[in-house]
Amino acid sequence: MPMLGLLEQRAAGLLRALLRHRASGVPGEDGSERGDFRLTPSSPPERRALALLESVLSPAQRASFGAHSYFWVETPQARRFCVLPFSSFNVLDAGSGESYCAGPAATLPVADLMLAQKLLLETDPQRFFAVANRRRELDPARLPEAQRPEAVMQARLRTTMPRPRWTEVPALP
Amino acid sequence: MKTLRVLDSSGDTSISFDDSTPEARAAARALFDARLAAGATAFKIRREHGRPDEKVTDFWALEEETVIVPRIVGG
Repeated sequence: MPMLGLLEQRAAGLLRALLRHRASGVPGEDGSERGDFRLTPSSPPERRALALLESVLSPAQRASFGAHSYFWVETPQARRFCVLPFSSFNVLDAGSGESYCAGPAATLPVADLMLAQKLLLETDPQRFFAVANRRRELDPARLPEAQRPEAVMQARLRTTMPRPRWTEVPALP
Repeated sequence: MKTLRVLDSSGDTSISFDDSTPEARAAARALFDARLAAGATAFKIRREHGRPDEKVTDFWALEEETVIVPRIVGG
């Protein structure tokens, strides 16, 4: 019986992640090949969420978000995390190479998710880490710390880019 | 005037209320308490002077703007 409960919890978590993904402004859809990760809000909720996020970010976070679409947060214990513009496993500990996944139990635009994570990590990280799932995102020995967020974003982009069908590939002249 | 912003699928739902009006204050307090009872977390948002945002659980400690985040779960 406890096993069944665990499976139900896991299924509910996956469903929430899927719903969040479908409701969100997926980054880089219009500029994927150029590596342009900017959140591209396509609906009023996404625009509203992005405006709120930008208004709450600190000046340094806003500058980073404008340039790279991610920003850094620091917990009260002086641990630094990078919040990436994705709907799951988007809180990166660039030091260890691990990423964390936790967010509101509601269908929200990605910018709202990022805002919730920023507020939690900066004021009440215990609450975040008490429920967050964790996975290894990259090998920290392979890259300098400053390049790790970009590396994760590039890797996510590679896995989310649509693969062309063979009929869509132009024939050689 | 004080503002409560509840994050939801519309981006956020914003409720502004006059803190000096008992009816408006009571309605805002009912919303605030109901959300927190459902597991939400509220944060004071401070945009000026580099003051950090702050978690808040007491309605009477609210400042100009508050963001309410629904219950946090692992993804």
